[in-house]
Amino acid sequence: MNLHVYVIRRILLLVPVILGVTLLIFGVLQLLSPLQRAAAFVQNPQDLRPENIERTIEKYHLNDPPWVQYQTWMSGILSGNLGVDRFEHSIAAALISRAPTTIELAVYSSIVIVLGGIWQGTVAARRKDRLPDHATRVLAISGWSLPTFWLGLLLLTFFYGGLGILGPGTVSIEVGEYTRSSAFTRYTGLYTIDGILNGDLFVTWDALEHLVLPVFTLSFVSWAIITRIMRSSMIEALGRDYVKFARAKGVPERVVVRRHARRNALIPVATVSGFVVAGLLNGVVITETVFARPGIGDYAAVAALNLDIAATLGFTLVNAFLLVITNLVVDVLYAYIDPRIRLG
Amino acid sequence: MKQNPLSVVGLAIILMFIGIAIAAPVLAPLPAVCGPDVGIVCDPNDPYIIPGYGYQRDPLPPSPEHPFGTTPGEPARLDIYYGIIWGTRNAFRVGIVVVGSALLIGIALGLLAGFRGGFLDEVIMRIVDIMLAFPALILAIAFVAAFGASLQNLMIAVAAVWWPSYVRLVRGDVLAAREQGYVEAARAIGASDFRIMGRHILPNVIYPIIILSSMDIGAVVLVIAALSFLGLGVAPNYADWGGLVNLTRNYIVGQVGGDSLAYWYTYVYPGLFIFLFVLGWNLLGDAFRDILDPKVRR
Repeated sequence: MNLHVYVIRRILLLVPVILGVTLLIFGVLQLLSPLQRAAAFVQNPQDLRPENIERTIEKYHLNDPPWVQYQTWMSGILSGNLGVDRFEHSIAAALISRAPTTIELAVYSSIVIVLGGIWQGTVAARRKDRLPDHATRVLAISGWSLPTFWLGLLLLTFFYGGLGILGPGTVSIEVGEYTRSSAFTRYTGLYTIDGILNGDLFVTWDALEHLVLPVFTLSFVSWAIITRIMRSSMIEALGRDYVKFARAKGVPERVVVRRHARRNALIPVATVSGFVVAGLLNGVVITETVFARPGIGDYAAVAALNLDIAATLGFTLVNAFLLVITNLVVDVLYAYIDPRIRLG
Repeated sequence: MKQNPLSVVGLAIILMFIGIAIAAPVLAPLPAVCGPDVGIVCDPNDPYIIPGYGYQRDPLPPSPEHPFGTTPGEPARLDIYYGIIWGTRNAFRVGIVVVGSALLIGIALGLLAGFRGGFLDEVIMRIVDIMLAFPALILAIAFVAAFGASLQNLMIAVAAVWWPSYVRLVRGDVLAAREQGYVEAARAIGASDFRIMGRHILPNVIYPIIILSSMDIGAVVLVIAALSFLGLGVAPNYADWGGLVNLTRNYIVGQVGGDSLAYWYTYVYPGLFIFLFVLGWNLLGDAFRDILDPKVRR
């Protein structure tokens, strides 16, 4: 099977999964009565009058037969409309306007996680069963066991509360005002990139300062997985004949590790990285809440607290899509790197 | 155990927590008298409700009466030490119930899928694929948002997102066991499918799975704590570690115009116990994985 056929087959296999995802989310919605779903839209005591509740139910078609509702909902989704939240604002618009903040956090964290994990895993593998290996193991298990919100709170109170540096939010107040003024163009919505594009490096610097703690928090709890996979695949690679041969012919150890062993050891890491990066979305909700960053995770957390079901499920749906697409990209990349996969 | 000294540490931590959970009524007894005249709010019938002291809320630092200080509850000051001790029981209860129910579903569906195969297998595994298409915490948040925040709904939500990975695990082992000679022998003497699944395959695959999954108790407690921290968990005065941290969210910045680290005890102690509890399970699980799962054995 060549690569094209493989990609097309993988995309076709996604259709039932995505359909199932929407059905599951819709099913959760349908478990609630129209009255319960209307409750999310109540803004003031006036809305609680029976005729007003009736109107809400009528307005959002909450009483239609399930298949009609599903059809309406699905046709909305296909045209990029996720419905409205409890303030009658478009959910899709809210998610899009908040996406850059989350992307900024997730991208920098992914870089730290993947590069840090590869480096740490290599160190542990080369010093297997010695101090660096044991230290890595302890550090990895500790990271795994830390509640994200607690780590974030400790860092925030220590650095911001205690030392008065690295505050919460995305940028400091003055920089925020400047970026909203006409002197500053929001090309991408990412402060670090827009700062460079506008030639205002202080914006980039300020945004990076605000990213240090959230990125560390988000990375520290996820990087362990990459480290461990890298360690085991590196140990395996270092035991291979081609590594022994390279050493025997006198290739310096540094080159053996970098060029011969690590390249081959990276293949399993590529697969796991996809999952880890997609799994970051879990941590994003917590990290954004702790560090008061107005991203999509924060939106979902607030929506869930207010029992805004439509908004929460809209966010869930987008997340599921992202995860499914990430898996697809990883699979295709994997097939590209390792042609043996396609035969299956 | 000898090869992995860390597992001994893990075991010690878990045994300590088991001790705390068992001895909770001795370590942190309910106040002998409660009521407005002594200024203590408590529920004599439910020891999981943390007693509240006085009529003010702002946290008090550790003192002989309150070894870990107090945290702002509804409407009184809650004893953090009491909350942590009873929170240990709560953590075990939540972890065991969630992992146990997820495991029951996982074993039942995994057995069916692996043993029967064909259409049933296809349907079950596609559902598993769909469930795994959601990040676990986010799906749990959606469930809680839809059905309301309570301890029970929290446990249902986490169990609902936890079972699919067990189905995969069980199915894989069942597929391997199905080809074994003893299954063929059982079939040859006319045993029914049900009997083969229950009496022959199940006992041969179940123990490693139970041990491995029991190590997830720590991970479950971590997810529950995160949800509780977001405010999607238990009622305010309930003895729950994540809930304790949530109570203090408006106070973490410290005293207004004063020491910003003044209220450290309100979040450091509960978080530390979550961390130690999860760490214990992970250290222990690390060792068990090395022993039981040949795929990750070094």
